[in-house]
Amino acid sequence: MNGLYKVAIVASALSVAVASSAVAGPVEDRKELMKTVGKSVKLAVSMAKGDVPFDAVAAAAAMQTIHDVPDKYVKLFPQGSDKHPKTEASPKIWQDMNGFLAKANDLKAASAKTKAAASQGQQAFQAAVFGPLVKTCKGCHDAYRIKKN
Amino acid sequence: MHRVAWTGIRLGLSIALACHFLISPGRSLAQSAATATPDLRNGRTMFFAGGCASCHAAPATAACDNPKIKDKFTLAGGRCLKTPFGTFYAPNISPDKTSGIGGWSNAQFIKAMREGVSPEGENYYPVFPYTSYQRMHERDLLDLKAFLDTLPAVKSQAPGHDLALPFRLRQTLTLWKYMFLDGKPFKPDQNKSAKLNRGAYLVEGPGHCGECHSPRNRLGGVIADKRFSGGPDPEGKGIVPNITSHKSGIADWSEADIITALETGLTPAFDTFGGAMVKVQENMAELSAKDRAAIAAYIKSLTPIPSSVGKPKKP
Repeated sequence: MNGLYKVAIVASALSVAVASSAVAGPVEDRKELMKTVGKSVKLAVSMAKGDVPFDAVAAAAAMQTIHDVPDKYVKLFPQGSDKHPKTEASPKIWQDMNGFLAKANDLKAASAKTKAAASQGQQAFQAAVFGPLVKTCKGCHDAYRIKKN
Repeated sequence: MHRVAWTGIRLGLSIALACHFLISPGRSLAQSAATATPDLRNGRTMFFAGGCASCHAAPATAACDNPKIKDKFTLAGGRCLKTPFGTFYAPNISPDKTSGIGGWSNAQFIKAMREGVSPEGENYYPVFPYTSYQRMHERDLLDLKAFLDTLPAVKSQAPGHDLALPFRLRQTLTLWKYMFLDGKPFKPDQNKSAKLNRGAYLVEGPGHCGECHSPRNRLGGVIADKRFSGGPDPEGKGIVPNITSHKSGIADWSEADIITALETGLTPAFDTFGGAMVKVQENMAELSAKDRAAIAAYIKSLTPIPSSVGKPKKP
């Protein structure tokens, strides 16, 4: 094979490897943040369903945890990180960054709303969890996440 | 090289045309079904079970792939689906008489839904899932048509499909249908409960779940013995998961989990559905609790099949 081809192949393999490792940090971090959200959702849903006793303080805290994620989260999307093998981020995020940021804001709003509902009792909390909160999760996953597993 | 290709094309065309005339024109409308008063409530159920709006509702903006729609009852079409075969544009199925289906007879509607044939006698592409809709009862299709006729009529012409060259000839679909359309209506299993049979009907018929949740062969037909074990996202990115109760599928989901997921979009892992399943779930949420329970029972009863897609799930 022509020597120049070999150089080109090695160079592109290297650049992919370098690019991949460059974004590995943000990709891992943002996945961790979503897992944090998941843990809070788990607690919230268990209370909303009545599987665990409703605790207004814990419910509000869970919502605050979720509320604190989006601002950190949106900073973890460097250009090209959609190419990382482990990410489920859709290229649509970068094609429509404003839309993506709007969805992040929606999560802040929905978690704040649900936090307020927690102080109104289990019924109100349940309605908010299964209503605006889950709807917001779906809204972002619909447009900006690619399911890989 | 060109001569060989051209002979091949002519041969293929001849076979397709021969099949076109050999294949029977299809089932005729039962007299009793044709004269009964339509049940619009049932039509609405079929509308949501069938997911018509998911493809045929007009996108909210000029971007044909914008997940946001104008309104789920504004069926002006125009949504695009980018597949390995090219880009398909969903047509207008509002009751407008010229650009929609308002001028169609009941028989024409049923023929389109169950045989994939247009009133002009042309084949529809199986992106329109008539391979599942073929299972639907006449009564349900008539109720659905009656319901569709109550929706707003919109004057709008969707673009024609933009397909790769070999797929532009609709006649070749006759051959495809000969292979992948069996023309059989839904037959209840006498050994199963009414609930399971209802679930089976909703899933295999209007729900057309298998169209996305199954792997396909190179000709684009569902691989029958791997049905429901997951498939590639028709838009080309990511996967549609295995919904059989194999450990690589939803073995760890209970029937109640499936019902919750259909009702709210929440999964047992406290994640939510995403992608196209969000709209499916919103449609499922419009069905009766009884119908969701039936769907969940049937899905849970599916034979466990190892996943056809994705990475192996963590134990």
